[in-house]
Amino acid sequence: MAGFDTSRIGRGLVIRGTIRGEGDLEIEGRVEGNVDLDGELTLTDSARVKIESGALAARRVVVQGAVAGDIRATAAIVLEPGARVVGDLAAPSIGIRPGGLLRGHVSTSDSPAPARAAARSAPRREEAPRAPARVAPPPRRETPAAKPTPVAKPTPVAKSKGAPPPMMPSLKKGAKAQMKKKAGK
Amino acid sequence: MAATVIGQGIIIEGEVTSDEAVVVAGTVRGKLTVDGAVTIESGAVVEADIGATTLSVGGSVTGNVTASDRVDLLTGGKLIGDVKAARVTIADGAVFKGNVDMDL
Repeated sequence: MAGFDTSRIGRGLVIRGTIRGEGDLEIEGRVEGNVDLDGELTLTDSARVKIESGALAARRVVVQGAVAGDIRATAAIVLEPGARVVGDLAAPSIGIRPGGLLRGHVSTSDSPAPARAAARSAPRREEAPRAPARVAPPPRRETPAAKPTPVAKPTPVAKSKGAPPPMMPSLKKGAKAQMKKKAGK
Repeated sequence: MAATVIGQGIIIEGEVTSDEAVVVAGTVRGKLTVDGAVTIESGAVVEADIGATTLSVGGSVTGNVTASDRVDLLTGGKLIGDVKAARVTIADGAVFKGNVDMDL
């Protein structure tokens, strides 16, 4: 026997849980959980890998199948024709061959985390200058503050006007005209 | 070579289900359900309940074992747990602690 240094997860195999350790691994089947390997990881065209937490990690990752989740490699990541990856890639060297599909963030730097932090802090810096613009309104508030005094005057007038109207309906239609006629005489 | 080989340096924690033969030379913790032959190589550590058609144990197994066909405990093999199978063989020099139920 050639030994069991190279491992293979066959087509008919389903693993729900964690795979870790050292050595080369070829996945043809389904994995739902996490993979943390010190070695070369090959995901064949029949492989279906769903990373539940963190990222799929290995020294070198070659993808021909489907991966849902982030991939992190200490050496390289290669997406070959037929690869379908939804997640972020981070490795010193990343290759996407024609026919490889990816939806996610790609980072070839050794430390992807700071790069992302900077990207997130950038919008916050844009928000900061907006704050002075919001400070400007107070002068506008002063002008409405000045209005209340003229507004205060109409209110008593409104009250004096408000009081007579109820009296009006008590007068019969045409009574006012008769009063004017009497006044005219 | 079997379709699935869990090599020496590999550790699997969780539930493993397969419809084809599995060879374990590494470590498996959790549950191992295979519709086919399971071979536990010398040096392998399995801390799991195993279900298979045939099971061959050359390494260390801790857990209950159910095989629809047979269980072979090889020389140098170690099995701690109950065995339920139609046929069971225990080789000279094997370590075994548990109940055997051949009334399948």
